[in-house]
Amino acid sequence: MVASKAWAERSAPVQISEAELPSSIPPQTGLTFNVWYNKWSQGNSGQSRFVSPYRLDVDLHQGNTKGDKARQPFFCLYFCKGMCCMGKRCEYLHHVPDTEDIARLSLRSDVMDCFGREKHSHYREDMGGVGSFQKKNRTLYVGGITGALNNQQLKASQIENRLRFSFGKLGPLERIRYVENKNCAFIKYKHQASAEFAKETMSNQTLLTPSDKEWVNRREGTGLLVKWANDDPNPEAQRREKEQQDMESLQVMVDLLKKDSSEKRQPAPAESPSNKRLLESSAEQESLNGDSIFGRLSNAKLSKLKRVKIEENLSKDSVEIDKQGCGQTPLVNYYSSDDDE
Amino acid sequence: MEPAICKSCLGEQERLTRAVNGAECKICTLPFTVYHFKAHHRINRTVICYNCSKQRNVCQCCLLDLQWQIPVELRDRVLSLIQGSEVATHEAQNEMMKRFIALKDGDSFKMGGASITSSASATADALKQIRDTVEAVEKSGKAADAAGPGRDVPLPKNLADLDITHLLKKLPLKGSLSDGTSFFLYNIDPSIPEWAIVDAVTELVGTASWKGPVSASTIINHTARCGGIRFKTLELAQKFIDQVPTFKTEAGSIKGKLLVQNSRIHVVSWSQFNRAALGTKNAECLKLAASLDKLVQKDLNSPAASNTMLTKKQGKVTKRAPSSKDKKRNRRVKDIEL
Repeated sequence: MVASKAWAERSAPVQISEAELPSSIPPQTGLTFNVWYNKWSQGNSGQSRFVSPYRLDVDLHQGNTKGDKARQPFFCLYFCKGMCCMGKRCEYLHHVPDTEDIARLSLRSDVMDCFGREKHSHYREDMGGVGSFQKKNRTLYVGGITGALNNQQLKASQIENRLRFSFGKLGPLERIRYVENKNCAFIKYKHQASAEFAKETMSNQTLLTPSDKEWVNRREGTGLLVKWANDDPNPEAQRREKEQQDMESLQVMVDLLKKDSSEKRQPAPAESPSNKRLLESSAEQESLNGDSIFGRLSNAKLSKLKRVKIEENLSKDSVEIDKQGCGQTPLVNYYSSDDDE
Repeated sequence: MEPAICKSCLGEQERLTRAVNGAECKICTLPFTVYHFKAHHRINRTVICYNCSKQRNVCQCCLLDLQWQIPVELRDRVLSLIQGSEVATHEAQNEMMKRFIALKDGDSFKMGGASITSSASATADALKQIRDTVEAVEKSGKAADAAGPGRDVPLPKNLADLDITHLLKKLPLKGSLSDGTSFFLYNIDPSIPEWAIVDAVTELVGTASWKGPVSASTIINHTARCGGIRFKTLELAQKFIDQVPTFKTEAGSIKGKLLVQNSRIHVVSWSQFNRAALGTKNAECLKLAASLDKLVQKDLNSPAASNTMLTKKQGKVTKRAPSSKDKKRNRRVKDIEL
């Protein structure tokens, strides 16, 4: 992908000065302050919704930091909220995750999110928070749209446009679905890290733009509510998802084979004839195995895999070179990260 | 007792720091012996207990399968594909069940696909099965390749009397690929993600900065199977028009066809780029998709092909195939490079 790396040339600006930082103590909602949880207790402890006064401006705020030089894989949580006072001295990355970063993150992405926070085994009851390591979730639920617009009435297409614009800047989108009668939206990204980044960036933000006349009063509304989405119950979407997953597993199978054969080749190069024999013997079993497998794979899927295989063969040369570079090749979804060594 | 940590997490590190009962296991919530170590210039630590990792055959640090280095979910899907029966690791949802599973011995009790990847012989067998599957798919794939993506979306009956003329009025149904900065795309398969279309356009134009800075420049409505793109400048749009492959319809208008993931998206100029015209209600979108389907059928009946429809079509398929493959290969090569 041709990524625009304009941010890499300049150092990250300071988003807000240290003196302007808000107090780390949230507004008082209870009688006593619990220093361990950073929350007020005793009293009305209901989640207070607010509009964040800071906002990430993707074009202005990106830049390189100390983290880039130290090959830090994680992003700055304060940067994404638009309130990092460190600027270029920050130890974490100050830009929107691109494919290169996602490759670097992939080693840890099952246990940590893109900010380096540990994931949990289950989702929180309200589907907020860091998320779960048991499921790869690339879809976000966006609620509280009315509050984020200060009760301004907009057409469905206008709301979708605004969502698409603000979420689209934070990573490559896969699809957006705005449900008009429920007044919520589902946003699916290409990568999970983009979803994690967008979730923190867009939480408690307003959907108003400076051209709206309510813009000055934007802090009186309640910000967007961004959470993890559950599976889409639509059978059509589930079929699509299943197809995608089957494609992915077939791809992984091809990679496993490749890895297996390369492992065999490395310790004893003389073993290649045995490898060949294996292939030949497998040809006999093919018809037997074929029946059981093809019943469940549609023609279209088979043709897709065929295509994947062809491309694999074509691109093998380049992969072979990569392999020599780093002894262990992670599978396709887990990009190699030779810069980690 | 050695912790179960995979090679890619541990690296060359031999010094581990032990903390007995140092943390709560993330899966079974019992205290376990944590190991800290420094690898790849940062500190890493085990997050699940040894028994849990044994039961699932995963690394205690990265939670990937110890044998294949893939996530548990993916491993189970691969195994259920080759075995034909459902293989899944069902994690306990409540506290009691978590304790119950935690008490089982990890050497004998394996969850889901762990029983296969934890033993060397079973893994070898599975690999052989995988090889069979892939080879068989390779062979039979040739025959299946000619068959296009089957599309059978039944139209609900109650849509017949839905009026969408207000939408169709705003769409360039009779338009052609001429000029302007914005374009209307239709015949988009719902399985094509938006980024694939963006990538295809980026590849044609040769720069990623074709998107306008002030508002959304790509809008895809997957339910209505259509969308729109808008370029920042006239030059970029002109470049797109020059680069995109074109075809001629029966009515004599020239339309562009964008090839994305083995399906062709028809492109025409659209002077009034408007999200509202793509429909917002679900029923509207479905009806719009149906009427655009008719338009696609009409487009495909090109004037020259009307008498020798079959031969022409085959010719087109063969001509189209290499270019789409080229593009896909390019993209894959790029993915691998990354």
